[in-house]
Amino acid sequence: MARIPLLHEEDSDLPEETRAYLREVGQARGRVVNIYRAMANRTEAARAFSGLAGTVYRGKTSLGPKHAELAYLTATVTNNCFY
Amino acid sequence: MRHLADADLPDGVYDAAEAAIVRYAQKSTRMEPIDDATYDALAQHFTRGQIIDICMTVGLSNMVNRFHATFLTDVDAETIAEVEAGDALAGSCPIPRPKPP
Repeated sequence: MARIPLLHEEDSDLPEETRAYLREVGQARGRVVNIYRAMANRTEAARAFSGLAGTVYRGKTSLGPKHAELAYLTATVTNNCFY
Repeated sequence: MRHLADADLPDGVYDAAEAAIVRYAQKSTRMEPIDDATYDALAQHFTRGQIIDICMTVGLSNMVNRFHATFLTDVDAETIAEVEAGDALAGSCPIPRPKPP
């Protein structure tokens, strides 16, 4: 059970900026996975994270997909991350 | 995939460029010194800009790992369902799936 709320873009109590971020992530990735729902508790940081990820790891990376994924996954497996 | 954390990478699994990334990513994650041999192996296959992307992607992954360890983010039901469907289809995914703490 996450220690912070997993926010939802349909929640009308949320600031529009947060809902807009979640909608954008959903459109870009096809669905909104929980890391973004959790990070959205601090929307500006979540946007900065998505910007960096999009530049060095995803769409605008200078790496081929296999090499980018190897860099990402090796760190995750080395850290034995559960997510 | 199952060898990503191996200290000695098996022959024939990764080409030289891939092995350079895996070795670097392990050392960087463990905050071990990035010696000349490790850096030079990257430099043989990648541009300066690509090495920066590799470095920052490893850092990004480490940040995400720490985020999940801190906030215990629930793994999405759809993701679990897809992984289990993949297990049934192609045998268990070799990436370890530790239980949340």
